[in-house]
Amino acid sequence: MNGRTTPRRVRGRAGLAAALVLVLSLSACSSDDEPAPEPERPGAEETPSESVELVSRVGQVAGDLPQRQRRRTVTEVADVVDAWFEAAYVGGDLPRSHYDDAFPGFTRKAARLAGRSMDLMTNADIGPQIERIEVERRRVLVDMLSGNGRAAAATARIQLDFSTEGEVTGDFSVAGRLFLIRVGGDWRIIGFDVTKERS
Amino acid sequence: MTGGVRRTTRTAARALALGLVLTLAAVLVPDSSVQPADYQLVRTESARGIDAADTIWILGIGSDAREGEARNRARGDAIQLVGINTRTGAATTIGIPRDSWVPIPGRGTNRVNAALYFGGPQLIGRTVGDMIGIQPDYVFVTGFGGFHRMVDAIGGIRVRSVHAFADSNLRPELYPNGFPRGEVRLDGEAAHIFVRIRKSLPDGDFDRSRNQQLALQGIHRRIHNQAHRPGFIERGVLSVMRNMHTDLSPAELYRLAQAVAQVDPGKLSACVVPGRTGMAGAASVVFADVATARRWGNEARESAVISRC
Repeated sequence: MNGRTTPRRVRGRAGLAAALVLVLSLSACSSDDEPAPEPERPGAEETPSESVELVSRVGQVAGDLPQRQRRRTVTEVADVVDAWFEAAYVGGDLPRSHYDDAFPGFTRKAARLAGRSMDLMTNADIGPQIERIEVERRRVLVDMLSGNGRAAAATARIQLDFSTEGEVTGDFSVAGRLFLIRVGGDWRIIGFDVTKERS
Repeated sequence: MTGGVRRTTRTAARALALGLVLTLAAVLVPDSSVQPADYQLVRTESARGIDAADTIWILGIGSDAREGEARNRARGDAIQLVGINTRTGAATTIGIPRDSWVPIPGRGTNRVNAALYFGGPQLIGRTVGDMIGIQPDYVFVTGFGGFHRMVDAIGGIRVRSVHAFADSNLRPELYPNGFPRGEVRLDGEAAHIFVRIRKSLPDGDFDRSRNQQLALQGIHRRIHNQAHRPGFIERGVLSVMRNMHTDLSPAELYRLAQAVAQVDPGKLSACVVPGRTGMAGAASVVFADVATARRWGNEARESAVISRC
């Protein structure tokens, strides 16, 4: 493993808001590479889920990429991924019925595709029936493709484990891969291969 | 053109099938840092998707150029038009007999494989596009040496051979009776022979084209099954960047590679354009059934499915 660990404290919604602002303050792009609509920014005083450190690491790197670029890429990609974790699964007021803005950082077309699997790509299936979420693990490993000395594409291998309380009480795990490329200097999720499991 | 996002006919030299190339530099080392799940699973579902054109058409050319020769100015021995529907995961392959006697834009009528020699990937792309009624979005060209190495790089493939046939170049210790009918495991060298031999096949050039499709399907199965391995796609795309001239950006190659990897091996169809052999002057050629080819093209243009050959 040639990576490093980047622990970050996710500070409830305040941290989410910062991440969302970062992720969504994007330059205008064209066609399907445009970002998905910005999600509603939650209030900072509420804590709908227990915090847990996000662990992000460099995974496999294809091509020459300086260590500084690798670290920067991991940070940027992790921010995009974590914004989705929050918007789709563990953020928002509970019980939660609306997941219309669950795909920050996705291209418009990728968001449309993800929207066809709302029960998997979000917590839309259980959101109205849960009152509390405790996040147990957030993990992102980032494989990178170097092009012209910078990261041109990345695969985020993700894992998000959380437990719920309420009418639906249980342990859940979201895992798989997100595919990202740079669009206008910012990372965009262009594809996904994700599982959601309930134990 | 088939329409959609960035559907220009980008025809620099590219590989026979991107999926093949994806494995060139792959070192398939499982990443131990991803911890196994420590819970009992009672329900598992998955979602897949890729932001790409709904249907992508790739013309794969196996050039007969030898090592050191220009791939783009040789003749095409293998000609396969591959369609991928990124929404459904379906894919289809239309094989074109290399001796098909067809109009070549600006060059009169000739064997279809001569279009590569006359005008490189652009011209053979237009020629096949006119024949089938689908202009390819991408044209990939590789030599047979590259094919050999790429199959070895993925650890060989399995195909289900329709015919038993032999060739003097096959290693007798591995294939004492040639290729048997049924499932056959092929290393790079054997795969190279499998896709080139035609004289010992009952239907000659047509059966060879079918064997090429079997090999592509075998390769795709390997790619599909390996795509989840850490860094696999990235290494494959890097190999494309290093070993081929291409005008696609690394990010676009990555996008295309992910689209290829998401094709469902259970949703593949493959047909070879029929025809009759004959003479055009002194040349032995195939008079292809262009009407059938265009019917398939019309059916598969958006769906990437041919329901019946």
